[in-house]
This record gives sequence, structure tokens and C-alpha cells, in this order.
Amino acid sequence: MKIRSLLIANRGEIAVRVMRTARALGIRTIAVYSDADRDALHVETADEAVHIGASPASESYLNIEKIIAAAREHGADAIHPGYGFLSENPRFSNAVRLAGLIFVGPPHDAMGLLGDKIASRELAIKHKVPVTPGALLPNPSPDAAIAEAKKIGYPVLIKAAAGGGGKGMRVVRSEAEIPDSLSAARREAMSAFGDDAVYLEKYIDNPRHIEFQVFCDDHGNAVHLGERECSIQRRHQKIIEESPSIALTPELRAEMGAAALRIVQGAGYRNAGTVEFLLDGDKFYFLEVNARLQVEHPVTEMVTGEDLVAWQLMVAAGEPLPKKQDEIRWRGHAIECRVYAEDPSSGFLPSTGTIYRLTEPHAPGLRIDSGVRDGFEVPLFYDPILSKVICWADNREAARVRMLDALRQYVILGVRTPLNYMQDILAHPEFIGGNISTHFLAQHFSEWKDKLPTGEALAALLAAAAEAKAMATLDSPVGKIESHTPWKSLGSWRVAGAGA
Amino acid sequence: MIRIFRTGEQKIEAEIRHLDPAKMHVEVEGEVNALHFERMGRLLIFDGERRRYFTRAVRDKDRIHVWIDGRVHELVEIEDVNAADNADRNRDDIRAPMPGTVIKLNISPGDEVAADQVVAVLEAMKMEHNLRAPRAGRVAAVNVKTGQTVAAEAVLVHLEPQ
Repeated sequence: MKIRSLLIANRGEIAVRVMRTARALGIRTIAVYSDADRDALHVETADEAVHIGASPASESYLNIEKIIAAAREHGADAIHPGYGFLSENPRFSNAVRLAGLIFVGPPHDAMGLLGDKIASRELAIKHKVPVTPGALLPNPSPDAAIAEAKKIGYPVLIKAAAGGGGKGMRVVRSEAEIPDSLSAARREAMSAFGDDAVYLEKYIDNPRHIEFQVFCDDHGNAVHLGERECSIQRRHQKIIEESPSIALTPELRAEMGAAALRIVQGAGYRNAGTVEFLLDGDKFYFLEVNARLQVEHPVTEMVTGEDLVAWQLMVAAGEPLPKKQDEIRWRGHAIECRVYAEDPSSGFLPSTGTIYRLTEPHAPGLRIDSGVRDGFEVPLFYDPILSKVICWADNREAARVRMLDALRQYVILGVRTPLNYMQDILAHPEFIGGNISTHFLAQHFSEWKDKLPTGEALAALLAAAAEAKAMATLDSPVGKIESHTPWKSLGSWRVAGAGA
Repeated sequence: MIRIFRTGEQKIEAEIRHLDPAKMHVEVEGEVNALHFERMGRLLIFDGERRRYFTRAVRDKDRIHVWIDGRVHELVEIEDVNAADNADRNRDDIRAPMPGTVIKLNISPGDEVAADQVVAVLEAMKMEHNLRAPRAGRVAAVNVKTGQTVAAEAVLVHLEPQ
């Protein structure tokens, strides 16, 4: 069935990005938006836009009934969930199908299976994909944990069986630490997920995060589009990603790609997915499957020259994958930097406010996926991603230099961003040398402080500050009579909509 | 006039003398820098002796954001030097650093707290943030309840003055 009109059940940069491909394919695009997003870029970009509720995500972007009603009223054939929000909610994908619409993503049963950490781990074992040695403890007692840890070998990681996002995780290096760490992990697991079952696994000290982009269609075809390395993470959240990874040989890439495909094919998967691994030297361990398009998908697009959203729409419409495994080619190197509204010098606290000046960089090989523009008030209700800077070059070093230049040209004034911080990461000798692991930021940047210019440049900075001080208060967004900033009216609100 | 700017934990003193609207001397770190200033649309351009500086700057209430040489700096001018010093010493209040929801309170009025002790946990945008006591002392008042939504800068806990 051909898709003629597509509702995008998301906001921000990913909604805009999906719309760009859909529009290029001649598909009518329908945006949904909350109160806080009435002037947002994704609303402007769409052919039609439907207001679905109040600013808290639970009343808008997480409201299944309202989204499906909007799709029906506006004659959508299909719904693209983006990432975060409802993208990995099997109840949503099932509801979309029951409403007679196409869900651009996997079937709900495959999604449910892969969303379950324990079930997906068993699936990996069944399909001979290595997993970290570990054990589930449904009724965790210190004695049981000590016995298991002895079998696995220290250090071990205690984590919430139901969880994610670093909640309820503890690294334990000796038997003496088990009782305290176990009770802390159980407490956090119970408060975050309502379930205090924990999982004990071998802790790998300096792993790289390597993930494979996979695609499956309805006709039994499955391919992988290579890997992304996402080792640069803070608090288990990726901020810089690249493809290819310098840690993989062609043999290891083929082996890991085949392992990734065994898992998703074993789950009856369809459409785009990502299989995540930890890599320790040349040993890899299955981590989890993300049953959606990832935030960092553009680096794969840059090195393969493929449009993954176009692939998603083709597969969702029942067409076969456009390429076979041996037709997929990789060229050059791509890097992505995520630009969040946050302050790296104070523990990555979210920073809300108005973007008073926005100038995007331009250069050959450079792509900006943005969800914001000049004058936009960054709402505090959602994941604070503003945009992504993606660049491509012949090799890693050329891509790194190009990215550094792009970040220097990117002007965002009004909200705090990690643009200075990411410049310092890209200029760090260990990053340049490719000696990275998921602990890179904790090892090298935990004490990071921004630096000021010196000499005449410092004088110019202060003179500019004095001029700005003398300026009238800012040109606020034109014609905005009623403001949604929470400082004026703080009702109850909730935060949801996790990124990848 | 000596002007004091704060950025992060750093304080910078500078004397900015306007010789005429377009010419200024900026004395900072013991050196006088002669700058020629012009404005072009949104750009603030300074001609120094070494080179030209193309800057962009905005002010949002007391926060000033300046882009120069590929980096953004956020500064606040300290208007009243004495008040600023008092503010440094006045560490009786524990404030919300951002709007959010109080998800945990570890203390009650009358409790003794140690410096750096976590007194409350605030959640915003998927993140939990520990709020710590700025110094040791006794809790005089707790102004919020668990589950309450608070604005940035709201005083959550007040310590008895020393």
C-alpha cells in the first residue's frame, strides 16, 4: 500500500528531518503539536498541523488516542513515531495498526520482545551472539548476589532488570561492597520502575559502544548498514557519534553485522533497528536492540549515501529493501555532535530560555538537522535536544577538523549549549588518536571548565559585553502576546520523551 | 570606571574608557587595549592593534551572552561590589538551580546538616539533580513538599543564619 500522507508523532529536529524526506517523496506531511510548540519549526515545516493538547508530553505527544484521532481526521495513511515518546511503545504501534493505519516501524510483538532486556538477551544466546556473563536475580538477597558475582568474576555491574538510562546501576569491585550496592540498586530500581528485580553482569572496564544499523523488510530480506561508534557519552547519554569505528577490522565488522542480523531476524523484526554492542578489544557483547530510528542515524546516511527515512517508508509500504548487502558501499568518515540546551559546566543541567540569535554553519560535507530557529523559546517539557551537526570527509581526521570548524561557526545565543565543550573534546589528543571508551568523558572531562580568551581578545569580549549591557532588552519573538515560559505560570508538568 | 564581570566561577575586573563613541581603552589584566568599535547589523566589530574581532552579543535580563572567536561566553556584570561580596557570604538559602519537581527531601526543620550534604533531589528534563547544603548548619525552614513543582531560583531550604 502506497503512503500518500504521513503523520509525524513527534517534535523537534527528528520531526523536521522525517518531514523533509517525506516531502521530497511527494508525501503530504501532518504535524502534531502541543501548546508549547505552536510556533515550532516542525509545525511550520509540515503541510498541515494538528494541535493535540497541553504542553506536558502526557497530554500531547504521549497521548495515543489524540494522535490516532488526528491521523484519522486528517486522512493520514501512516504514522512515523520518530525516536523517544511513543516510538518504542508496542501498545501505540498496535493501536495504529488497529486503526487501519501503517506504523512506520516494527510490528508490536517484535518491539515488545526486544524491549524486554531479559528476553532479548535470551534471544541473543539462542542465536549464538555473545552476551556478557550475567544472571537475573528476581528476589535479590546479598548471599545470592555474592554467589553469582563469584561465578561471574569481579568487577560486576548490578542493574535494574526492568530499567535503562543508568538508573539503579552500581559497579561493584569486591564482595564487601555487595550488600550496600545491592540495596541501593534495589531501592533505585523500585522507585524508577516499580520492580526491584536486579540483574548482575560482568562489568567491562573500558568498553567502546558499537552499534549496527539494520533493516528488514516483509520479504525476508535483511541487511546491515555498518556500525556507529557512540563511546563519547555523559551519564549514559551519547553526545558525539561517528561511523565507521576505527576499532573494527573488516572481519570483525562482518562478524558483528551478521550477529546483529541473527538477533533481529530471530525476533521477526521489520524496518529500521539498531543492535547495540559493547566492544572490549576484539571481543563484543550484545547489549540491546533499539526498535526505532536512532538520533545518530545521519552518520550512517553520510557514509552510505542512503536516506534511512526513505528506506523506512518503503519498507512500511511493503516494498522490498532497495539494496542487497553486497550493494551497500561505505565511503569516508562521518561525525555527529548533538547540541542540547544544557550546561556542561554545571553537571549538564538543562537550560531553557529563548534563542535570541541563531546562525548555522555552512560548509561542504556539512549537514544540520535542527528543530529550532531564531526567536524560539526552548520548552522545559521535553528532551532538550536542539539540533545535530553532522559532517562528512574522506577520513576521520578531516571529518574531525571540519566538525571543529562547524562548531566554531555555530552561534546560539540565549540558551546554554555544549558547543564550547564539544570543541574541547574534538581537540583532545586522546580523541584525535581514537583512544576512546564509554568512560572517555568521565576520565578526561569531569573537571571541565570553560576557558576565557586572553589579551586583546579578552578586552574585545568585555567591550562587547559592555555594549550588550547598554542595549535595550532583547528583540523578543515578534508578535508573541502570550508566553509559554514556565517562569510566568508554573502549573503541573512532567518531562518525557527520551532520546536515544 | 572599574567594571566587574563574572563568568562561571571567575571574576574579571576591567576599566572601559570611552574616548569617543567609536574609540575605547579597555584595561584588563594590567594591560591597556585600544579598540575601535563599530556596529554592523547584529555584529559588534572591534578593531584592535593585533586584529579585528567580530562578535555577537545579546542581553537577557542580567545575563550577557557573547560569541567571539568561535565560542560563546556568558557573563553577568556585578553592579554593586559590596552586595556581591555579601551574596558570596550569604549562603543561608538552598535554591532550585532550574525549574523542576522536588522528588526527595532528606531533611526537616531543626535538622543539623553537614556541608555538601544532599538535602533535596530535583528532577527536570529526565534528569535528577542533587541539591547540597552550601555549609554546615541547622535547617530553619523547608519551604516545599515532595512532589511540588518549583520555579528556578525558588528558595527550597533556609538555614539558620550563622
